[in-house]
Amino acid sequence: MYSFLRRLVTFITLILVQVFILDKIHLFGYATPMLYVWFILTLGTDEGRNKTMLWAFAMGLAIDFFGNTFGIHAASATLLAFVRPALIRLFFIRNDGETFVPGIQSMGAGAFRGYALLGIVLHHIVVFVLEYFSFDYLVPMAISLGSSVVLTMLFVMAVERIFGHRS
Amino acid sequence: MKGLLEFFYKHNHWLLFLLLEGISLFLLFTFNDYQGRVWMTSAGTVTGGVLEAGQRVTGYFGLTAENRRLAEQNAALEEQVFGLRQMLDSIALDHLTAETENEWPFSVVPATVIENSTGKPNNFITINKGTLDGINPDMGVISSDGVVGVTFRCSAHYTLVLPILNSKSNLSCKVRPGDSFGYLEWRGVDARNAQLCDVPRYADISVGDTVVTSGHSAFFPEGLMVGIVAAIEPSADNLSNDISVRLATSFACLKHVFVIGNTGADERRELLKEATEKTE
Repeated sequence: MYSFLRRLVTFITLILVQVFILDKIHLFGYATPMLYVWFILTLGTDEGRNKTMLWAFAMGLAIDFFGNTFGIHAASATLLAFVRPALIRLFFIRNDGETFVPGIQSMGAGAFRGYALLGIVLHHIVVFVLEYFSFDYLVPMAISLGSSVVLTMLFVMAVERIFGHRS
Repeated sequence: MKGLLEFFYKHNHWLLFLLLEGISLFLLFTFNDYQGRVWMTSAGTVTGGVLEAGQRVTGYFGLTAENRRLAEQNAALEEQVFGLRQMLDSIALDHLTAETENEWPFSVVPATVIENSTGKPNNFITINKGTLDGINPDMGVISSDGVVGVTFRCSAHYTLVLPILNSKSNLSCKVRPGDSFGYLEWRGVDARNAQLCDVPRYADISVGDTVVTSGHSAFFPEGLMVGIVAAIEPSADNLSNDISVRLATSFACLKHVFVIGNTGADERRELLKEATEKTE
């Protein structure tokens, strides 16, 4: 119960930070950080794949409602939650059956960085492809995608270092 | 049968994944077909309420600049009123005043911007007035600097505006002087510029000309400021000119807007409806 409430508070805080502050950032007119993926990246594995997907879907949908993106973030966040176990396995070997909270402390900075970067890239590709949904804008789309990945990555690493799970 | 159930059980996360993605994409691609889905936008009761509460805090930032702008606007309007009154007086002197039946068919509702985006390929603006304030979809929205967009979806207290900075926006404009017509489109990225399309090549337009609303659509009266011609280039098919327009409205710091209700528009729409019903 306590951990659920804690998770809910993080969930709501991240949505508000995303909606009121981060969505207003367009560095050089292109880059917008999507810090909310940090929540999906660092959910404890004890939640299981289905619950993680439901959390991610709810979060994406909330971002969609506030930002008028009608389902783009719900789709991309769900995808990130779905591929998450595979991504973790790519960078981190764990003992079977043992649950843990993905993060710098549990995985090590290098492994977490690789895992977060690949997850963010996948998530952002879906976001920007759905947002532009046209081949006429490949160049601005690529610039937005690349610069936003860098910015999101910086935010995620910073927040993970400050607020990341400690056991 | 048992094998099938076992298969589904074993791969239940795949089913959930496909279900959630299906819901997301359904919401995305059918949004335009359902007026009632306004609650899924920033103009919904819950989302709008949260955004308005936030706006009450952030609204204090930049108040000095905003006040100065409003004072300047006041002064300009004052000047205009004075000029018009003088003109009216001079007309009244040598004309008999007749009862005018053609009243100004536009009403104006002031509103505050509670949410605004400029960096996406499809931007929206949320304002704090809704159907209870007499706002309906397809009304023009302007700021003191120029045209902003058209109302798109309305809830009771909030309205979602489709600004010029949206790929779905399409505004009928004309260029002064010369009065050549074209459609204003936005092709992304730059919140300060839009493109005027379908302007014939023979049209006499030069950099620095003023782009105003044409009055062809029912949303806006004629002659409202849209922007200034910034560059002229032949279009890809070489049949017309693509004109880059520097927008008069600064979308990034938009705070106060006015919604223009066109009482004549309803009449026009009803007439059209009646006519189509009769011909069917």
